Amino acid sequence: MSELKRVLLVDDEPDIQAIAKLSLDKVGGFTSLICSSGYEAIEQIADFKPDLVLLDVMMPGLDGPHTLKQLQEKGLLDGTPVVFFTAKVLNSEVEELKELGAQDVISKPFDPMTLPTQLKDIWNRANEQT
Amino acid sequence: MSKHNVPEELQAEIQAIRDQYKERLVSDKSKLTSLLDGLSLTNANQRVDEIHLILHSISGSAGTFGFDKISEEARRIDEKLKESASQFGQDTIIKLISNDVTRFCQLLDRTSVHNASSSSESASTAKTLQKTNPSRSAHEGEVWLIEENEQLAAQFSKQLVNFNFKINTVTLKEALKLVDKGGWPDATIIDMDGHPFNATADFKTLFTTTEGAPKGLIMLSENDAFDQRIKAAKIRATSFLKKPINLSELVSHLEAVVNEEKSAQPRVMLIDDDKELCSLMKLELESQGMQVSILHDVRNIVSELNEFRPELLLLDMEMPEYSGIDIALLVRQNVQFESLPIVYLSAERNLDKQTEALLFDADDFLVKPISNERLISSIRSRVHRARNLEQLISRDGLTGLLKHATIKEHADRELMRARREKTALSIIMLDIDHFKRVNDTYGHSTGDTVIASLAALLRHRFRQTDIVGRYGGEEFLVILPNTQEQEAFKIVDRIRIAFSEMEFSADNQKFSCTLSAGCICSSHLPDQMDASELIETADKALYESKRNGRNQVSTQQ
Repeated sequence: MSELKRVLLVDDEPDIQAIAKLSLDKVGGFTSLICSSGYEAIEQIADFKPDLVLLDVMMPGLDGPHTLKQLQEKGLLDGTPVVFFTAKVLNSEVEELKELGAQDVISKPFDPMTLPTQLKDIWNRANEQT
Repeated sequence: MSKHNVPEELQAEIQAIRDQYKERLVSDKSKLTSLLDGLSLTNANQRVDEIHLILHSISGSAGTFGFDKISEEARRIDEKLKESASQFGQDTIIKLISNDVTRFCQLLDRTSVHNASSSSESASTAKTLQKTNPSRSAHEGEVWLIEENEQLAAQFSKQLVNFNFKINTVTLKEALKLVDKGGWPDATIIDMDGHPFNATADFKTLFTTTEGAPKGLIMLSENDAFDQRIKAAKIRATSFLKKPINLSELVSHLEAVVNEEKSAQPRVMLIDDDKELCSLMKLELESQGMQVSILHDVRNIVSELNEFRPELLLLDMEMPEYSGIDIALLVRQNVQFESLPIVYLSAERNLDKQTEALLFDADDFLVKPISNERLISSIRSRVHRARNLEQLISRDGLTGLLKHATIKEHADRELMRARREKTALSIIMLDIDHFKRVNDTYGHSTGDTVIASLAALLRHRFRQTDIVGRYGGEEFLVILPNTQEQEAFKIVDRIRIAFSEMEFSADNQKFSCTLSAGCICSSHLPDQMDASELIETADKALYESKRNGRNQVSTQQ
C-alpha cells in the first residue's frame, strides 16, 4: 500500500494554517501546501497533486462544501480523499458532510500532535475501501 | 511504539504560534465588545451574525492552542445562539447574548492577564500546551503545598508529582505574595505544624487576603485534638489529615477537591407542559454549563431516561393528562432509577399539599415562579449529594474506582454507543505483576497501599471521559470511548512506566512494582462480539504480556 505523503490544507485562518503546517510537516513528516481559500485550492490542486485534501467547512466566499462540489464537478479529485475540518460536532451535521462525498470529518479544535496519525488512519481506511 | 517526545525546537515553534494566537484573541475580544456596545433592535440581525462567526471560529481554534476552556465556552454560547434564534424574539436574544458574550469577554481578559505574567516562561511540551487552561485564576490546575519544613516539602512534592498534580511548594510568606498576583490555586495543602502556625495563630486572619480565603483546603497536622480540628473547620478546610501522612489517602482527598472544581456538570431532564417555560429553563441551566434534555412526549420517558441518563428529573406537578406524582411513581417502577433525584415544580403554595406530594417518592418541591439562583443551587446540591451516594454504592472502598458489576454495565453501554455512533472503543485490562509476593513479603496493608496508589495513578492519567474500574483483586479494567488502539496503547504504556518508577516502603525497606496490560479496540474485532467477549480478548492480551516476561503492554494485533 502506498503511503500518505502530500496533504493539501484549505483553511482561511492564519493561526490554524501555521499550527497545522507545523503539525503536518514537522510532526507528520508530510509535504503540505496551504491554500487560504476554496478558489486557491481549485487552482493549485492539479499542480500539487495531493494524496489527501483537508478542507475547512466554514470559509468566507467559497465554503468547504461548495469547494468540494466544484472540485468534483471539474474532475480535479480523481479519487483523492477529501477530509472536512470543522468546529461542528453534531452527528447529524457530520453525516451530512460525509454524504457530500467526504471521506471523513475531523473536528476542531484538533491536537497538533495527533492530527497526522488521524490523517494516516483515514488514508489507510480509504485505501482499504478501494 | 514511539512516545510523544517533542523536540525543543518544535516546542519553541509551537510556543511562538501560540503567542501569536493570544494576540488574535485580544483583537477578537475588542471586536466582540464593540459589536455588543451598539447592539439594538434595528441592527441585531447583522451584529448577531458577526458575533456568531467570531464565536464559531474561536470554538474551533482555541482548543488547538491550549485554551480548552475558551473553546468550550465559545461553542456553548454559539450553540445557544443558534438554538435561541429559532425560538425567541430579538429582544430576548439580545438580552441572552449580552450577558453571555460579556462574560466571555471577561474570560478572554483574564486569559491575557495570565499570559502577560507567564510570557517569560519557556516553551512547554505539547502535552502541557493541551492542558493549559487559563481562566478564573492564574494558578488553575495547580496545588500549593504550604510547608515550612524543606525536607518534608521536597518529599511530598516528589511523591505527588507522579499523580499528575502541578505541585508548587511554598512557605506561607511566599504563598501570600503569589496570591496577590493571581489568586489562590484550585487546591492548597497546609502543614499546620511549622512555624508561623504556632498554637495561638489565628488561621482565619493569616489566610484571608484580598483574594479571599484559599479554596479546596487540606490541613495536615500531628495533633488531631478538637482545638486543632476546629481551627481547620473555621477556615473551611474540606479535609484534615493526621501525620504521618498516608500518600494514597492524601491523593484521594486532593482528587476530591480538584475534581469537585472540574467535575462534569449536572445532567438534568425537564418535564413540563409549558413549552416556553421549558425552553427558558433549558437555556438558563445550559448557560450554567449543565446538560439539559426536555422530554416532549411523556410516553417515551423510560427510553429517554435510559438514553440521556439524567442525574436529576425536574417534574411539573400539574400537567393535563398525568400528574407529577403519576410520573414519579412510574419512574420508580424501574429499579435502575430507584435513586434518581426527582424534584417537583409547582405553583402549589399549600404546605400540606407539598408535603403530601413528597410522600410519593420525590426529593424536593420547588414553588413556581422560582428564581434562577434558587433553581440552580437546588439542582447542584441535589446532584452533589446523589453523586456522593452513588460513589458509596458503586465504587470500591479501597480504590474509589467502579466495582466489577458497575464497570461491566458501563462496558455494555459504551460498546452500544460506539457501534451506534460508529466510533472506536478501546478496552484495557491491567494487573500488578507478582502481587502475591508483595502481600507475602510486606503484609496485606502494604499490598493495599500499592493497589490504592495504582488506582490513584489510573484516575489521574486517564481522561474524564474514560471509565476506570477495579475488576478483581489487583486487576483493573479501563474503557476508553472514542479511542483508537494506538492511542490507548500510548496512554497505558506511559502509566506502566510511571508505576514502575513509584517507590513504596515497608519495614524500612524500599521496593517498587510493575504492571502488565492488554489493550484491544472494538474497531479491529468482529461486530457481533459483545462487551464480555471484548473484555475476554483484552484479558488474553494481558496474559500475552505476562507470558512474555511481564512489565509490558500487549495489543491484539
